[in-house]
Amino acid sequence: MATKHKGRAIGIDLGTTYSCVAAWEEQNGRAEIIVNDQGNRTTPSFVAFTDQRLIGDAAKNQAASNPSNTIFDAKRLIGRKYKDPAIECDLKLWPFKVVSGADDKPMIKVNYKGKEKCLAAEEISSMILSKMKEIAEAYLDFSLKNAVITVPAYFNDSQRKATKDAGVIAGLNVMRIINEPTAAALAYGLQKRANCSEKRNVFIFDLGGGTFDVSLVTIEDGVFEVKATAGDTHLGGEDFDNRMVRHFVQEFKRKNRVDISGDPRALRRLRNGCEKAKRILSHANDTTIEIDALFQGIDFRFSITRARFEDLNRDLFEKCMEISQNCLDDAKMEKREVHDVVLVGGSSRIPKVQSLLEKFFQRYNLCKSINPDEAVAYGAAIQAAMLSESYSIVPNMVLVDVTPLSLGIATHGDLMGVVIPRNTAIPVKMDGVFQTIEDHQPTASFPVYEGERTKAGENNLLGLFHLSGLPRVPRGHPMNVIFELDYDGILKVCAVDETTGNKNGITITNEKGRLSSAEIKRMIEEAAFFKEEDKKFKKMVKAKNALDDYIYRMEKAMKGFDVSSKLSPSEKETIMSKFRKGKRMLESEEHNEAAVFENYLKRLQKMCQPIVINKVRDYSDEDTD
Amino acid sequence: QEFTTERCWTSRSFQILRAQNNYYELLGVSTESNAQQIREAYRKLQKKHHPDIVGQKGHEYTLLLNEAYEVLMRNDLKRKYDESIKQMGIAFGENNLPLGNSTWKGPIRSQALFVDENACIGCRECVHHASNTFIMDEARGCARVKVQDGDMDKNIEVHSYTTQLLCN
Repeated sequence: MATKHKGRAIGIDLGTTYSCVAAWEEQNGRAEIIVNDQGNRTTPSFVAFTDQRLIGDAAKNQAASNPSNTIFDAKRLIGRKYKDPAIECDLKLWPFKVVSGADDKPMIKVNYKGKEKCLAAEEISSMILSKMKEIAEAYLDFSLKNAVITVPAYFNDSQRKATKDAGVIAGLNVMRIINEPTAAALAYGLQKRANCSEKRNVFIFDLGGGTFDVSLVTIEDGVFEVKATAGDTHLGGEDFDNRMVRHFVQEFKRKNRVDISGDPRALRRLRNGCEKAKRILSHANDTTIEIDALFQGIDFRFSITRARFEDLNRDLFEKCMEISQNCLDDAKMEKREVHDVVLVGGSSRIPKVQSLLEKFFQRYNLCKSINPDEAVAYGAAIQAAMLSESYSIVPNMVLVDVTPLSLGIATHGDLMGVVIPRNTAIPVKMDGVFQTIEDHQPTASFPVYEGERTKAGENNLLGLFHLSGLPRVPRGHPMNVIFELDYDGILKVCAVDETTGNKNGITITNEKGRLSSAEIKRMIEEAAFFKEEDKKFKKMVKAKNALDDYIYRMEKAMKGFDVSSKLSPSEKETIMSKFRKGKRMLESEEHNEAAVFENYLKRLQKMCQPIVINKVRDYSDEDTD
Repeated sequence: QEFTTERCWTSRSFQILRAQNNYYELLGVSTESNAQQIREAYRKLQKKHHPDIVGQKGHEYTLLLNEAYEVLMRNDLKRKYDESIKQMGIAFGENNLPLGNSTWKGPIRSQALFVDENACIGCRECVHHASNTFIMDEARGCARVKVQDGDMDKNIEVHSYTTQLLCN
C-alpha cells in the first residue's frame, strides 16, 4: 500500500456458508449492511451450474435438485492442497466432484451447459465476490473497484493470497485482507465507542459456518491492539451439520435398512433439514425433521433433542474452549482481566457454546449486542473507509494486528527455527543467526515456513532461497537471516553472510500452488465469459417471455371476437399454426439464442398486424416498439 | 541435507543491542515511566504514524515502535534492555551522559539522528560542522549524538532517521 486508494470502497465478509457486504455511510457515521436482490442481508456462498450460472440464494434454493453441480464450501478448499488432511473428510461428504489438478491443487468439476469444466476454488470464490460487488453497486448506484476482504485470523499465507487472487479475478482492487475477529472488534469499537475511551480488553469469539477464530483485542482511545489470536480454519457450523447428517444416515439405515450415503440428492435434502433443525434447537428443546420420500420413496421423520445435538458435537465445543484458553495464555492475560466477551458468527448462537463460554469466563454477561452475522462485514467496511481517500469523515481508529502463525526457517533435521513468533505485532522486523553444519559448506539453503509444528515439513512452505559463495571454513559459520513483515502481510526474507557481505533473499509472493499471473489472466477472461453468458441467458429468458406472452394474448384475442371479417379461415389457420410452432419452440430446449425468439416474435407481429390494428391495439402497443 | 543450516539463536535481544536509537527516546518517555505512560505514548505515536494514516512511509517507524513497545512492556525484556544500556553507558562513562540519551532541542520529531559506531572512523568532521549536535566520544573513538536537532538541518546530512549518519 503506497498511499490511500482513490474511489469509494466496500467491505466484504467472504464466509464459508454465507457472505455479507457493507459500505461506509459518511453522513450517518456508520457502516451499512447492503441487502441483496432477494432482500436478505447475507447471501449464501453458493454457486450453481445448469444451463445457466446461479450465485447466492438462487443457487442454494435449487441445491437439492442439482446437487452435483451446486458448489459450496469453496473457502474450505481455497489455498489448500488436494492431499491436505483437513479436507480429506470433506471430499467424501461433498456431493460435487473435486479432483487433483496441477501442483496438487484441488479443482472442482462442474457440468455447465452440457460441457465439463474444471474450476479452481479461487474462481468459485471470485464468483461470490463479484456477486457481492454487484449487490453493492446496485445499492450504491455507481461502479466499485476497491474492497477490503476478510479472512479467518488463522488462515495461512497461501489461503490469504488465494483469497486476494479471487478478489482480483472478480475485478476488485483488494486494498487489504483483514482478519475476521479484528474486523468484528472494529465494529464493536464503533458501536460501543462511548465506552472505548478507557482501556477495554475484549475477547472476540467468532464461530462461523466453517471456521473458528478467537482474538484478544485491547481497545483504548481508538487504538485497537490485537494481543493474541488463535483458531481452527476447519471448525464451524458445517461440521455440526456434518455430525448430524452422519447421525441421521445411521439412524435411517438402522430403521429402514437402506444406505443413503451414496445419493447426493438425498444427502443434500437431509443436510438442509439438519441445518434448519440446528437453528431451531438454538431456541427450542427438540425438533422433528420431516422429509418426504427421502430415499426410495421412504419418508424421513426423526426428532432430535437439544441434548442429543450437544452430545454429537461435544468434542467440537470443547475444542473451542481449549483454543480460547490458548489465546488467553498467548496474550498473558487472566480471564478476569477480560472486560467483554463478544459473540460473532452464526454458530455462536448455540446455547451450549454460550453456556460453556459463560462457565469458562465465570460470567453471565456475554456481549450479544452486535449482530453476529454482520459484524465482520461492518468492520471490513470501516477499514475500507479508512484506506480510501473518498471519505472525509472516518472513525479515528487504528488497528495494530499480529501475525497468527510463527515464521521461520527449516533447519537441520527438519526442525522449525522460528524467527518471528506468532502473535507478534505487525509490522515487524526480526533476525536470527543460523550456522552451517558442514565443513566447507559452499551453499546454505533457507526454506521459509509458517506454522506451529516443530517439524518444519508439517508447516506451510512459503518459499526457498539459497545463499552461495560461503567462505571455505569449518562448520558453524554464522549467517544472519532477517525477516520483515509489513501491514499487507508481505514477507521479505534476506540472508547475509557478514564476513563476505554476500546477500540473498526473497519476497514471498508466488509460492507453489498459487495462481500464476497468466492463470489469473485466463480466469479473469473466463469470468468475463461467464458474465457474458449470464447476460445472454437473461436476454434469452426475456425474449422467451415476450414471445410466450404475445402468443397467449393473441390466441385469446382470436377467440374473443369474430375475426372472419378480417381473416379468411385459411389465414386464421396459418396464424394458429404459427402460434403452435412458437409454443413448441418455447418448450423445446433446442434454441438458446435470444435472437431466435426475438425474430419469431417480429414475424408473428407482422402477420397479425391487420387484426391488431383494429381490435387489440391497446394490448400490442407496448410490444411493437 | 548438505545445504541445510542449524539454528544458532534468535531473539529480540539481538535487536536491543543493535538498536542504536534508544527505545525510551523513540517513545518519548523517561526511563522511569510506568506501563501506563508507555502505553499512552505508544498509542499516540501509532495514531500519528500508522501506515493506514500516512501510507508506506509509516512502515519503518511503526516497525521500530512495535519493537520498542514490546521490549518496554515486557518485564523480562525491559530488565535486560535497561541493563544493556546501563552497561553501554558505563563504557561511555567519560562524558557523563547515559548512552543514547541525547536530548531534544525543540519539539520531538519522528526522526532522530544516531551515529553508526561501526562505520564511524573518528574523523571529527561532524563535530566541527555541527558542534551543537555531535560530541566526540574519546573512549570509543567515535562520534555520538548529543542533542537532537541541535543545529540547522543543512549542517547535518540527514537522509532519514534510519539512514545511519556516517561520520566521514
